[in-house]
Amino acid sequence: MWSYFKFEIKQFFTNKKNLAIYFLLAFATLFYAFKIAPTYNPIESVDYDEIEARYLTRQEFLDHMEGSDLNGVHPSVIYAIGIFKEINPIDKKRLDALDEGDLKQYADLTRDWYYFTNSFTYRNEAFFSYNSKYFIENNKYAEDDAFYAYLEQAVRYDAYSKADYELSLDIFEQRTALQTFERLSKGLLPIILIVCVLLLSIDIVKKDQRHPSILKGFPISDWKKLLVKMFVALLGSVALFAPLLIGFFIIGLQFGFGNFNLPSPMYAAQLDWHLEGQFEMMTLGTFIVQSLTLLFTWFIVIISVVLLCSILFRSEMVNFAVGLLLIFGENFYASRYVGYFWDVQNYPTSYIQVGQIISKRRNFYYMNNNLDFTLGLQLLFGLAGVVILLMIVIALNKRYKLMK
Amino acid sequence: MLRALKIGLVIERGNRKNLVALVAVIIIVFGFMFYIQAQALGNQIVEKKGDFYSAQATLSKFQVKDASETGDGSDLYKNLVKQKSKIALQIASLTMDKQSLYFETSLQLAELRKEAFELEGYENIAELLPSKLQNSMNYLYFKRMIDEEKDTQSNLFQYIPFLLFFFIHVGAGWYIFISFHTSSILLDDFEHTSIIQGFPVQFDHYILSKCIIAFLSIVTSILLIFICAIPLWVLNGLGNPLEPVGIYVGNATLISTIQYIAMSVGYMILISIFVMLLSIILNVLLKNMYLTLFVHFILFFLPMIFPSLISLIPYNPFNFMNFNDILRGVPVDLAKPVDISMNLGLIIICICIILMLFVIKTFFSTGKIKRA
Repeated sequence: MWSYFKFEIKQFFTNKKNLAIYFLLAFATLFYAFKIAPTYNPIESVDYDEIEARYLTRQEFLDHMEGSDLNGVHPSVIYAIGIFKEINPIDKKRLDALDEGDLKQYADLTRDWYYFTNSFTYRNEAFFSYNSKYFIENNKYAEDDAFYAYLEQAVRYDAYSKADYELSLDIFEQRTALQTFERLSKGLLPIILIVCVLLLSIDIVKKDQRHPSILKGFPISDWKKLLVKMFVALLGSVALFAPLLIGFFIIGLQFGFGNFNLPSPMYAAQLDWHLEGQFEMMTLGTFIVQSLTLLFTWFIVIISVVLLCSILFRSEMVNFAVGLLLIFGENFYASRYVGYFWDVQNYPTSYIQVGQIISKRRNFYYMNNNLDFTLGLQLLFGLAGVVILLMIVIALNKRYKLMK
Repeated sequence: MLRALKIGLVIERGNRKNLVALVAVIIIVFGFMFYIQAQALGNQIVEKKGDFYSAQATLSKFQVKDASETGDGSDLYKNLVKQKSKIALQIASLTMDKQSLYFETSLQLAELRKEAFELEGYENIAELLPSKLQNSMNYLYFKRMIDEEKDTQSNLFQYIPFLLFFFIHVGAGWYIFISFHTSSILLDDFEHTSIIQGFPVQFDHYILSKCIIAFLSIVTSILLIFICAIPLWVLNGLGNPLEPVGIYVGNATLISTIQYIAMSVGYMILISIFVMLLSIILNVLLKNMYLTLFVHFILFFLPMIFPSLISLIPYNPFNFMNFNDILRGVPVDLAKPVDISMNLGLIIICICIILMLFVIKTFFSTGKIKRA
């Protein structure tokens, strides 16, 4: 058993295709760390000019209206005066806090600013609009995205204002290494990693056809061989994080590493209208642990599905097609708010966007309360269990031979 | 020599790799059509709406003031407000399908932007606006359109505009495609040395025949691009082959679409020869397809990942492999601008090709380095 394991490990890590995958991933990581990460420019940034411009414009309006007779003016003017009188002192204090470099004070005020601005901007297009950068991509749902972002920022700044660690602008703009990982795992990173796992494990059974005579020297039953292969592929998948770590350190040295107590708000999915858009605090540590757990479960699912397909169909292309169907299956039904009508939470494929599941952004996207970390874990483990069981049953069948 | 060629052709005929490459070209061309369709590329109204919100986002950095000529706003602020209203007019003219008005407005917008570069505080807001070179190309384009009194907009689904779009975007990909295609140019034969040794052919003749065969398949791929796009010609017509395109050759100039396509094909053929010779050298030195590919990729992507390398080593031939970027004048817009254009690139690539031919001829054919 041990010698077979060593043999498989050696084959796996000397396979040129696998080495190429590690290499390309390392290359992509370097590209990201050096080229893309520094140009990251969030919409919700700490922009002194923007705050000042808004403050001055509104203050001038208020000064102009000061003491004038409000009888007979348009009601929207009175509305504007009311709002600006509330929001302008906050903007003024934010500017002062930035001037003094008091980031804790800035965070405290910014939280209030986000809550208050959102309260009079959401569904109030006639008078106010969110940051216009949300609308640049011709996004139909820009208003909703901005709503989500504003409330999320409010919860983040709430946590910053109570922070017992050192604050910095890089932390506010989510540029530190851990926060970069957080942002990426809400985007493409999980899918890239899962596709890499698929490509790594795709020929793990098929390659044996090239050297049948060596393999007949190992007196192990077929199902044990398959489990060893599975374990080797899992080890190889974990090794995918090695190239990512290089990028992590490069970004960390540029912008700081961040820490695990940073906030990573979780959308509290509530379909009641008066509770809509609530966020709950979660620490970055919890987020990362849960994301990695779900991601690792996905690795197990993909590898076991590839193994089952390998022994059923014996073709790399079929493995590839089935794996891709599983990974991109969500795209066949994913669309905004569809979860309100369909039970998307019952399909394992709905959980592919790992970071968005943990932060429950996916619930907001689907408008569904039930997408959940534990449910996803149960579904995926269930799927993997069934697949592995099937695989072992087939391999135990006397008429089946792993190698022909 | 002819014999070597004939033998090579016989071997190559059974090579499935050529077929895969041709299928890849077909898939890429048709994939591009779907990509254009899906992303609504070339839809001017959508793009201008994006511009409008960019202008608005830029303006959010300014206090709202009186933007009339005698107003108290800064010059830059007045300029940006005018830009925004011009963009709104662009959208309106497109919606009403008044092309001539659209060209006029766009020209005025380009003029406004040209003025804005000189104004105080521009570097704080440069992020969402086009670069100086980009703007001057736009200026030239719209000026030409007005001078020629054009009133039609090209449609990306016509034959020539599609080819132009394809060649503008495929430039960088071509290097990658060819490096995949030629990464094992000699290696298949290294695996079966006995077959090669069975034919009494000189090594340099053998290499030359290999090159000619690879070159033929490359030319076929390029031809295939033109052939695959023909359905667009049948469905939507030819399009205007004289439509101007802005490029950078020391200064911003306009050339016609057909010229641009011809230039691209020329560069692509030269780059193919360059890559092929480099592949041969790497094949002999490294004897591994993956290593050859990695070296290719590293050399190719390094100047892209670290653009400061372009400023540091402007005459690196790999700067010129992404010829669309050079034609667009990307090196001029770098943090540390360097003035390199494709004319220079042409000379450098040719020199490199001659050098590599020399290396192959003198070092590899003397028998000092064995074939396998």
